[in-house]
Amino acid sequence: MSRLFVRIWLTFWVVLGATFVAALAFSYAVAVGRAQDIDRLSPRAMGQAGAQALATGGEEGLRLWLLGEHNRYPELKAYVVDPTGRELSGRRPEEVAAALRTSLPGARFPAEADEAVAGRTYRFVFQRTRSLAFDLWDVLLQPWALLVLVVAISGAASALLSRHLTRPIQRLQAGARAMAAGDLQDPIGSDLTARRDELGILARDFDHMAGRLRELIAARDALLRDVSHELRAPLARLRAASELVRLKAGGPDGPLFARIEDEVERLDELIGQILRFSRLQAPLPLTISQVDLVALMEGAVEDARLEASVAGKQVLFEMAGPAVAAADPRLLRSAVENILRNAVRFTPTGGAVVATLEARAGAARIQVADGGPGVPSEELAHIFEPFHGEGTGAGLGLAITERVARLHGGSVSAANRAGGGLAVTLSLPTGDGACGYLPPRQRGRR
Amino acid sequence: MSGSPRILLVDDDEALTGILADYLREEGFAADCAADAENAVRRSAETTYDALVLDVMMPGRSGLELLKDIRREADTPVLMLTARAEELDRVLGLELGADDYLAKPFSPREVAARLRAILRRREPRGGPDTFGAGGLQLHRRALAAEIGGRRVRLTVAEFLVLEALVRSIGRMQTRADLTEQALGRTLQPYDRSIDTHVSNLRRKLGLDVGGAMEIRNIRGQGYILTLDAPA
Repeated sequence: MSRLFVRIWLTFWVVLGATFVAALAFSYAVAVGRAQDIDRLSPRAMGQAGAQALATGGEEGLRLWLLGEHNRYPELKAYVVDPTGRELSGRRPEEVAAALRTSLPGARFPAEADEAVAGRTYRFVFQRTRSLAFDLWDVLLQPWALLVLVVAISGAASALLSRHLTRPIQRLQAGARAMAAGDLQDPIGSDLTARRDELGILARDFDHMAGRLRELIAARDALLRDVSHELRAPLARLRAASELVRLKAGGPDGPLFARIEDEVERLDELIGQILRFSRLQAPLPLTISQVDLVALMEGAVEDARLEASVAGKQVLFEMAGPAVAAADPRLLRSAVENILRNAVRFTPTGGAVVATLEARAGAARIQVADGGPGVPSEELAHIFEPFHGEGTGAGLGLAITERVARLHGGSVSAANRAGGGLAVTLSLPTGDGACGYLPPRQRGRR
Repeated sequence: MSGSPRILLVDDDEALTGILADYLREEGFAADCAADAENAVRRSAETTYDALVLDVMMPGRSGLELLKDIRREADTPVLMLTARAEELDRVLGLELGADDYLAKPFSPREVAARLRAILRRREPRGGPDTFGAGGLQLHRRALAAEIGGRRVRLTVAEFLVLEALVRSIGRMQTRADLTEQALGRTLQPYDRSIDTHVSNLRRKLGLDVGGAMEIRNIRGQGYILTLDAPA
């Protein structure tokens, strides 16, 4: 059960319950007020008024008076006993005696007053019918069933109402998560968008937003493709032209030609990195599978070795044992390649890059240490920013690695080694469900 | 090969094909250019080419579609020009039967070298026309393999990869060795050609895990053709 559901449910329930209790308290207060009204009556004055009614209207007059008093004070009971001991309303003497015996705590009643009417002494007995405690019990005890019913009905009604409100919110939330993870195809579902209330409107707006994002991403991808093509075509011509000139000139091995070719290659790599980096900025569906990290590392190290051997550098690989992670193999491979190439670039000729793979509880650690000069400690935190370290040709490689690590719920860090050189560490969660950014539904779209 | 090998360059970037054609002529090829698929089809109807250089991305019919059409009728060697490695077109090109690929911006020197390698391995080589191991038979002239009574056509590159594996059955071939024997060139960094050819072979011939014969991957090192399924 979600917190929102519980909150709404309890709020409604508590409000309904409090209303019920308040109604009880109000009734109680009214009852207390009436009891106090009665308590303020003077039995003597009442007796005299009764005697007056008897004197002027006889027993019939007395009955009318009693009726009037009963209407004004429903909780007041009055008995009138004539000298012979007969109760004028026909109630038995024991009843009168019982009424007199029932003493109520803190009350003025029962009380009696003797009044002489036409030479005969009548005894007026007044009693309040109920105590305050009795009033309360009356309300609380008798409708026990009512209380239970109120609680049950209000509880169930509140639960239904809260569910009605929170279910769509949960669906929207799931939809938002799916969108964040790159799933833009119908993230909400038609039953919710078909609702006619405000939540339905919200869901339709949400759907609209997803559609708009879909269009934007498609447009951006198309633009990136075009840009890639348009930027690379001149590069290809430039490179071809440079080599043709060289060939026609009889193949001079001038450093300027090598320079042109190097720069063409660097520009091409940069274009590739910029495109990859911009693609990684937007939600994209990861194509997750169980990736054998040892095989991935061995492949990447083999490539780095080929590249490094040309420059007389070595790449060593050490691993402790098998490691598997749920990851997008292509993205992860490019992340590892970027670290390795960076390390090879900064390792001097004759030096070695050491890559290690370690699997620990729930996490795999890929570390690449180079034999280069290291990085000033105040710069360490920034080497994963795009184009950090101008002039070194660092470009976007490590920024791409950092982004890929984050997409997989992992992290990347850098530290200077004691013996010199930089060590870059990529950590990946390997435990089940430890991946924080996996889309809820895998569709394997590209 | 007698005389200059005839090459057709197909790319909508006519400035580029112009320079490339110039370069190839300097290197002893006879090079023609076509700016799109239609043009390429027309030209190859007029002239028999020894090899094609095909750009993947072209307006109208793409290089991949053209490649598919070509492969339906002929096994003219095809070198694909693709965008960058990460675009995966290269793998698709190889799956559709291209002989090799180069990513733009390529070096014309490399184009010439690859073309020579492709043409060289087309030439008839020594060795028996039909040979094999286990239940697998290879037919050199027909560029085909037979397994379990099924005959499958292979591309030249696939045939040569399989030949190298059959000749060293039970022994591992490194990816570098396979690249040299089958593609006639050295292994490059980030070069997945051999892996694609191997996966094509597995798919076409059913040499997967669990079969009577299997091309096994020795992680980070190479491939090995085994006779018996692993226990």
